[in-house]
Order: sequence, then structure tokens, then C-alpha cells
Amino acid sequence: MHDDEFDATNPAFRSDPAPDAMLRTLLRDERLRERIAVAARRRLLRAVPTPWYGWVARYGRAIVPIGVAAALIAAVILNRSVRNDADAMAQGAASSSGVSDLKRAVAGGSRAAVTDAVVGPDSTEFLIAMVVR
Amino acid sequence: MREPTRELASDAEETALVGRARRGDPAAFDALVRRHLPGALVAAERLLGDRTDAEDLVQDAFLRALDRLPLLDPDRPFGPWFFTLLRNLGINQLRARKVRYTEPELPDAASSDPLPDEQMVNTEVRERFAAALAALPPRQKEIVMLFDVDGWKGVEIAEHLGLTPENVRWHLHQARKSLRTALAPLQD
Repeated sequence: MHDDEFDATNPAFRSDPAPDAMLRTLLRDERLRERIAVAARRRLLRAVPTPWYGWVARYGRAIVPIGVAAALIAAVILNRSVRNDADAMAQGAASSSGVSDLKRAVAGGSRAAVTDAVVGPDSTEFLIAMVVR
Repeated sequence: MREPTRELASDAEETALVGRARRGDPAAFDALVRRHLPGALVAAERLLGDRTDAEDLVQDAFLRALDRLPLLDPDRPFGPWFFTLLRNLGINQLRARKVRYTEPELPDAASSDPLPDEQMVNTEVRERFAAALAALPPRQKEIVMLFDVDGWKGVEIAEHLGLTPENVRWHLHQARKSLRTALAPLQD
């Protein structure tokens, strides 16, 4: 069995060769050594402190979309809180003006003025305003 | 009979390898693994009684040794320190499995570890063997691993790789020939 060229008719290749215990042991050891070398390299790489530009290189692609998403979320939250503040201020102003109307009417206004202050003026505008809103 | 100068050279070489591995040189750590792998496998297999478990234990022990290298006193030799680590890990593993065992005859560094002379020859031959294996065409490497290590038959490998069984055996023949050439000094 010394042919270096493959010959399918060579009888030596018709059946499997006998197992070789020494080769087997050395090949198994070599495979384990390779496995350990790969794991060790990975560990050593992890142990090396990463400089700032390393982090940028590693996470650079994720930083931009994360930043954009964070900015959008912040804008939505900010917008909502500004609107809530404005609503609260408007509501406060409306209720304080109602109280002062009532005080003024009770202090010396006519009966119609007191009624207007308590239940609202005699008009259908508030209904239209409710429907439009 | 061991030559004292050669032993000293080997010790000095190992101390240098430990120093380089400690500084994060993967090649130096690989050289340490190559030196102690055969002895570690014998010790682990004797302890656990199973080759696959022994391989896992040896891998675990080497990786822990790598983590703990900074704790190793530079004046202490790596071998006995590593074998103590291996032994302790193996015993912990046996305890975790709750296997009833009597304290096994644990090979201490002196008995299981090949003598430095043998180790040197062994390491040298192993290095040549590793180089020959790395130089094999990928297909031949795969075939020799499947046949000689995993115990596949020629027909099974042929089916797996889409070759004829005769072609697989030819590749196997070529691969074994290259590897045996690397082992020639050992067989003389």
C-alpha cells in the first residue's frame, strides 16, 4: 500500500485498515489540546482591558440607533409633561375665575348673576363647546 | 538516567513559560499545556475512571490554572502546583456526583508526571506530530479524526462526506502515513 495516487481498484482500499492505538491516543490528546488552546485564548482576550476606542469599535454600530430611540422617547415624554402642565394651569385659572365670579355675585349682585355664577350663564354656547371639543 | 543540566534547562524553560503565560501570552500557555497534558490525562482518568470525564476535568484544570497563574509563587514549579489543582478539582467532582469512593491512589507529580527527560522527548515528538496534523489537508484531517478517534467506519465517513469508501480509505492511508512519519523517532 504505497501508492500516492488514488487507485480505486487497489485491493488495499477495499476494506478499512486496522485501528492504530498510538495514533488514536495522540490524535485524541491533540484534539483536547486544541480545545484548551481555543478556550484559553478566549479567556486571555477577555482579560485584556478594553480601551475607550475598543468600546466605541465594539458598540459603535449600536450607539447611533440607541441614541436616536432615546431622544425620541425623551421628546415624547417631555412633550406630554409640558402639555399636562399647560392643561393644569388652564384648569386652575378657570376654576379660580369661577370662584371670584361667585364671590362677586354673592357680595351684591342680582339673583340672575348668582345663578349664572353657580350653574353657568343662560346660553347654549357651553353645549356647543362640549360638542366641538 | 537524567542529566541534571538538561533538567535544570527544562525547569528554567518552564519558569520562563509560566512568566510569559502570566503576562497573557497564549503560545506560552499552550506550551505548558503540551508539556503536562499527557500526565494530566493519565491522572484524571485514573481518578475518574472515564476518558471523556477525564478530558473535561483536564480542560477545566488548565483553564483554572490560567486564571490562578498570578497566584503561583514564581519560585514554585508549575507541575506539582497544577497537579494539586487537578486532583482537588477531580475530588470535588467525585463528591458532587455523590459517588461512594475510597481515596484513590492519586498520582503525585513525581509518579504520574513523566520524568523531565521523557517529557522532553514526548513534547518534542508531540510538537512534530501536531505540526504534521496541522499540515494535513482539511479533508484528510477530518477523515483520520473520524476514523481513528471517533471510531467511524470507512463506509460511514464516505456517506457523510459524499465520497466512495475506497477514496476515504486512500485519504486515511495518506493521512496516517504523514502522521507516522512524524512519529518515526519514537518508533525507532
